Amino acid sequence: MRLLLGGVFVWASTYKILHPAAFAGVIANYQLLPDAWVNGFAVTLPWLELLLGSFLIFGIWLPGAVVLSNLLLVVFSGALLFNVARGLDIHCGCFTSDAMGNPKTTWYLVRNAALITVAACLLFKVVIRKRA
Amino acid sequence: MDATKMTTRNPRQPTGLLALWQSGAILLLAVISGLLSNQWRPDRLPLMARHAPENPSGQAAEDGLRISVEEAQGLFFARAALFVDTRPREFYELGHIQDARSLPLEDFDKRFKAVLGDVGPDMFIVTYCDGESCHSSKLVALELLEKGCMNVHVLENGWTLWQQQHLPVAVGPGPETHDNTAAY
Repeated sequence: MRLLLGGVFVWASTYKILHPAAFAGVIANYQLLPDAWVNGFAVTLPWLELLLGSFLIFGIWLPGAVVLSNLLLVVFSGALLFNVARGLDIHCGCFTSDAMGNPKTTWYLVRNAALITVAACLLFKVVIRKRA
Repeated sequence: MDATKMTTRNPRQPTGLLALWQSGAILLLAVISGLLSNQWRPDRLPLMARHAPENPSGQAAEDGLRISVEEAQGLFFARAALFVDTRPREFYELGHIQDARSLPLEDFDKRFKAVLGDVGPDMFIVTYCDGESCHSSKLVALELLEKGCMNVHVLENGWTLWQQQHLPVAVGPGPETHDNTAAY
């Protein structure tokens, strides 16, 4: 499970690390962050994904990586849902910054829900069960 | 330094606390890596940049500039207007209105002459970006008016609307720009 989630995070980070300007455009399109924060997020968020993915794959700092992965996925889905609720039809920008075609918002949400399920299982296994 | 070793080293440390400091450390590492990599890359992204200003100037002027997608479509098929894409260059290359030229807001001053140097002041120009509250098309339109363009229009949420209508699009770097220093 952690290999799957880690692989997804690493895959999601590569395009964004290579094309930070395009990713900044995606973040700006969400219209959730103050303008001054957009580029800062665009340069650091992909690295967070890369680190989380690598840590999950190699089993480094698992409790922290799992908690942070859950948080990140919930925040991503929350941002998408918030924009759906206010009628803003935007591209996810989750794996690429490709803005071609109409946004497939339902697919983005289903995909995120599946990832959150995997991440929640990991959270239970790595953090909650260990505490108990 | 894997999780097992960490736990072995601190057998009494609660997992919650462990997760907390590890999360903080990962966040810190990500910020440092991101900032350092950005600092060293040739196409460095400025940390502070204008994307969608909250209070674009000239609201009244903007209201008179808007055209509908049907009007824009008419101008397009009559080849009566030049379309100007004001989104970042990367988005333009991923897809744009056919024959549109790329003039991102952030590059306006630098690229204006190269992109629109061969265009007369009476040419119909339609600017567009993407998203209903995207301001760059309006701001570029206002800049064009200041430069002396007389027929400037804004197609709001243009890229999305254009695709929804299945109108002609193109992908790639687009037409060559025109480095004409005799721009008006």
